[in-house]
Amino acid sequence: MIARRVAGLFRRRSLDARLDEEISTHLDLLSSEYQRQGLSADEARAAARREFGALQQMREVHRDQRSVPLVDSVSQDIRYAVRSLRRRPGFTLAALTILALGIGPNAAVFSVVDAILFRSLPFRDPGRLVEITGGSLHNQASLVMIRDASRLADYASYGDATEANLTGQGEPARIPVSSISGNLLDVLGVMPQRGRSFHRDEEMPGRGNAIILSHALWQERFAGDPGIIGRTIHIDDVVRTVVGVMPADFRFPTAETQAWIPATVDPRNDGYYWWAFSLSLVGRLHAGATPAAARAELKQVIPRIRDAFPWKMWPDWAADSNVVPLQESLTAGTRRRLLILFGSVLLVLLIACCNLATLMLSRGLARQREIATRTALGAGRWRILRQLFTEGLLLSFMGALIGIALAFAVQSILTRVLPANTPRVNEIAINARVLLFTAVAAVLSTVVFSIAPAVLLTRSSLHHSIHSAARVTGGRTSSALVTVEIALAVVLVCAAALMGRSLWTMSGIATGIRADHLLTARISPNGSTCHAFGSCVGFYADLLNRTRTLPGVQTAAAANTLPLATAYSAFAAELENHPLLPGHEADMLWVTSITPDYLAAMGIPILRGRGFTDLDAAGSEQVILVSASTAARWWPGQDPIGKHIRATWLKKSRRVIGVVPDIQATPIGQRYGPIQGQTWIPYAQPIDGAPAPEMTVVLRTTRDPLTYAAELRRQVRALSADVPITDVQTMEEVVRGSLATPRSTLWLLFSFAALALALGVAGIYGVVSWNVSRRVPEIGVRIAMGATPAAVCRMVLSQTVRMACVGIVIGIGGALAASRLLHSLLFGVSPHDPLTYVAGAAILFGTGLLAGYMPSRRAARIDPVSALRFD
Amino acid sequence: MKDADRSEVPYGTLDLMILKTLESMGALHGYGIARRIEQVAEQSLSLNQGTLYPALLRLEQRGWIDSEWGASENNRRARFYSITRAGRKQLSRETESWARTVAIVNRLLGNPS
Repeated sequence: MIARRVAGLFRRRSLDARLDEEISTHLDLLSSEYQRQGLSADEARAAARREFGALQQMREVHRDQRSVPLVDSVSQDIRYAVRSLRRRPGFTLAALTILALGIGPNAAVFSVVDAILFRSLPFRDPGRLVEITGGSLHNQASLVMIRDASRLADYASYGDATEANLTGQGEPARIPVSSISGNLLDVLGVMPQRGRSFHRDEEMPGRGNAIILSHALWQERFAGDPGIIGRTIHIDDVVRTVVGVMPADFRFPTAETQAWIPATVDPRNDGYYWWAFSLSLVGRLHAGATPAAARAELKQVIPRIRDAFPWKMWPDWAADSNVVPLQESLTAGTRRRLLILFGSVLLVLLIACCNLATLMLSRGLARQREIATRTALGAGRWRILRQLFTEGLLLSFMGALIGIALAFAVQSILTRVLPANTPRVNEIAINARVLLFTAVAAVLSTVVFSIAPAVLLTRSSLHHSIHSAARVTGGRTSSALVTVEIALAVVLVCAAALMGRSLWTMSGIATGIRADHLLTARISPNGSTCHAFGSCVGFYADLLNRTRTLPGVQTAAAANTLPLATAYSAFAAELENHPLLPGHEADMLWVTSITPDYLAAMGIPILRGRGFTDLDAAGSEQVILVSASTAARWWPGQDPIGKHIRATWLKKSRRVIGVVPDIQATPIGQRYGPIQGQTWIPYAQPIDGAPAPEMTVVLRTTRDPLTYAAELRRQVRALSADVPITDVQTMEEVVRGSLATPRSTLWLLFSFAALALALGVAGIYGVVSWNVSRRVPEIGVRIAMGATPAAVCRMVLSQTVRMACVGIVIGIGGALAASRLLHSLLFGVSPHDPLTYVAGAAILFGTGLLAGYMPSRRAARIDPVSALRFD
Repeated sequence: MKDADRSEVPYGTLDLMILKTLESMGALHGYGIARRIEQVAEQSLSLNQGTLYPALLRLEQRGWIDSEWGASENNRRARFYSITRAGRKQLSRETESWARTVAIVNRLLGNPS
């Protein structure tokens, strides 16, 4: 039935023709009947017409009968709305701008939040994947024991992708490689696109010379060679056989990961098997198992792992371990930050809606006579509501279209400012889900911004509105809406101010180094390259000697890690006078291995004793430097020089020969595990084993450090063609980079707050100036009665002040509540920092007053004579 | 016959009349239906013949009648309507409810049928 009617919409013309033909046949038959009765042809035709009745009216009825009334009247509504919006281009432009600014950032932020947090992981049955969290169960021993013991889940492990040298395949390259347990791909439920995944026995020592390539690496480095399976390649000097290529969309654990190798599980390799806590453990729950059940099972395994340790672990070791869905744990670091941004941008949309509502209201009041006339002509209230809503929807969807265009721009900025290691960044796109979200946002916005005006406008009774002296004012509703806008803006401004204070505090933290005029670069020779120089110590000594003599280079040195780094090394230590007690946790010390000139190059002074020299070589006495606070903590009131520090698993200890100031080892605002001190050792005297080949070279220069980058590459190339050089940047860039995440969060929050502030201020301005223009006759009377311009100005301003004060009070309350969410992102500033809130309130009050001042000046200048003629 | 002596088609009964006509006469064009109704009413009914067409369309939309092109007596193209199965069912329902309505009205008016 409906279908036939809808079909009728499109067949209008043919149905009209059919009707005409039927009618004319009918009339012919009728008039021949009359002719048979004796009438002339003309008389017969006229009689037939009479008999048939009103032709045109019948056609109309027929047409109505076959149309869908709602569709027709809706299309009428839309045509009417388009006309009405076209008639007021100023209003339409303002409304579209507000909507685009409200919806565009929302679409962009949603696309990011959706890709990272909401969309399920691209693995088979992702809801069953879990991760073991907590600070302890990250070594191979834990994996092996949990994997063997669990009846509820299959567990596997992966390591963070670490850079490895790919050589013998064109230009030597550093590629991020993740070492995974043999069963990881099965647990994730992803099969290689070509070849096979690893076998469990490839975890055994000496069996695991296999590698699986990422699709990108296969395409870029091997030109998509169809015969890639079975080819051998050189990774960090180890010959590995390619056994598989992953599909293009497999990017795990991070988007940059280019290859996967089987982890070697060797219980005889004590140091690694027990003491390298660098693995992530993931699992696939068996059918029917819940994370809670898996957690309970894990709690039973933990004591067995603890007791199996070669060193006695403390009783509550691994007590913080938990089993949580993988989707949650993967995004744990970014979740809160993204949700806060999403919440802020939703607030902006809400403010935009309030703003638009006041705009609609003031425009709608101007249209009251039009609406009253339409009501008088028989339009029902529902029909008029629908008309207003249609106008709103039309605005919203046009605004959303512009917003989507805006979203592309905002999104490209967003992805750029997100930290590079953000999971699933590559999945961010403006896709169907984002469009759907935008459409829903547009419809909901319409509801929010057009309901209040529509209800208010259609409530006024007929004679009231036609009689212009008694119009509905809507002033209260507008003021309430503006108050809400101010309150929401206060929340965002305070949040941005807190983040700003936090970043300010962070950038004020002393790093302990002189970051200017320093060039840094990661140099990664293979073990075999080092052999040619006797050892890696020889390689670096040679390289540094070559660069040190370059004109403009003051000092050249190297260290295994830079300050403010996300990667660091630490060792379990026993310090003199503090013997290890059985059953107690060993103390962890940060350790940086450095060449003798490193401290001088970084501008780190030596407070006591001496620094390292070339004489602190492999064969000589093992020495160590400690930071001032480390010395004060372990040997208060004593001379630290000459004290000894021993790695817990070694017999020989090292002698402390000097004290240097504390250096910021990690990115500011981040804390890593329980670390009880900071130390430096000579590169030639590693804690254990041979010196690590990979080092960061630092050059202190007299001119712009980046101008030395090319020369540094030339010098490295001259020593060996096979050494990759990466991360060439100035130390100042390193320092800035360590604050990239808080800075980008701040910028986004700051822009949203600025947008909120602008919309709020525009709202105040709009409502106050509209009120002034509405009250022109009244103000005219007041002035005529002797009110001074100042008094008029005050009267108008008092409205602004009332709205601002109420809004600010509500807003501060909201901001205090919201600041709890910000807590974990703040550094060095309390979430209830009074100064921030006072500043936020002052900003709103100041700008609000300014916005109200302009219309109040206009009010004060009203000419009473022309004002009284106004209405 | 003066128009004043004719009664208007009672509201809602035109559909019933059309269905009944088509049931008893088979396929008819609009003119034929009008003629038939007027014959049966023996000219006591004022049928505005034009009102037939919206009614026919309505019945067709509901699936109670079907239509197809055919040739009329004067060899013009005409649309011939015929009742469908659903139409017959509807007719019997309507007939029943009509009878009930008439009975109720009669009883109200005090002439038990």
